[in-house]
Amino acid sequence: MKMYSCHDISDRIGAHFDGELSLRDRIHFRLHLAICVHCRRFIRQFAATIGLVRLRAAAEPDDLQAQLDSIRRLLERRDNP
Amino acid sequence: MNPEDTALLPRLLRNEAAAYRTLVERHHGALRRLARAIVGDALAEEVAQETWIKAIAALPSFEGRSSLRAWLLRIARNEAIDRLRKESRTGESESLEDEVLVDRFAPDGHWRPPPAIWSHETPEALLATRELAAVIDAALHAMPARQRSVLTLRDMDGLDFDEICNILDIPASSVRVLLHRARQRLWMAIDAHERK
Repeated sequence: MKMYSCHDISDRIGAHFDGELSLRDRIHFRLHLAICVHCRRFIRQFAATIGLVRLRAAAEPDDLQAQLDSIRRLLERRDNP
Repeated sequence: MNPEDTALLPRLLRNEAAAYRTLVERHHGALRRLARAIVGDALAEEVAQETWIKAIAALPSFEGRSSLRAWLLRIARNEAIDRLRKESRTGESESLEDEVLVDRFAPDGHWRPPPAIWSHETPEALLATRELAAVIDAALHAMPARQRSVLTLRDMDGLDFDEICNILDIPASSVRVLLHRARQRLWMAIDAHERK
């Protein structure tokens, strides 16, 4: 059985976070991480990167309320022509 | 479908104003994010508003084959693509095969150079530095629209892969590749920033 390289880990890291690795891949993953400090770092950083995207979505611009108001007006015009 | 949306649907069909407001408040952010991913910041709000007008007119024909959210996002996607056509901007061509991190590995598969040591490894701590927020925004802006769209739907709005395929009209295998590339680009941008 050929061991996974760092490159293999990088190729599969998305599937790892999306829970889509096969059992065989998961074993390979675990074996490689046990011996590779760089990939352990990479995996922590990749998790943080995905988390950042989520946080960035939460940081919506302040004008959302104003936009909601304008859509409300559109709806009201539709309801009371 | 989201149980809250299921409860909302009959009220929408009865034309209850309060139900419309709830619907808009619940989904406007996601519609605008997807529009922004496709047409950019300047036109995103217009596309999102146009989406609401189309969606509300089409609501009686909503058959519930997808979630209401996915249905709305699909309309937003079509609206955004139409808008690009009208502006004579076609989506950039991009190869699914272009691997983002290929230059970061030696022929034997080892890192070259290895990932930099970051000042922080939690999203909250990373985002607390104003500079890094700008790095992320720039990386989001620079990536191909399809990568940005998939990243937005999956990592910002938490849709599942099947829904994303239907909304963007691309095969499941492509969705996975695009998402992977998008996340790699972001990681690479942060890594380059932290290496300085």
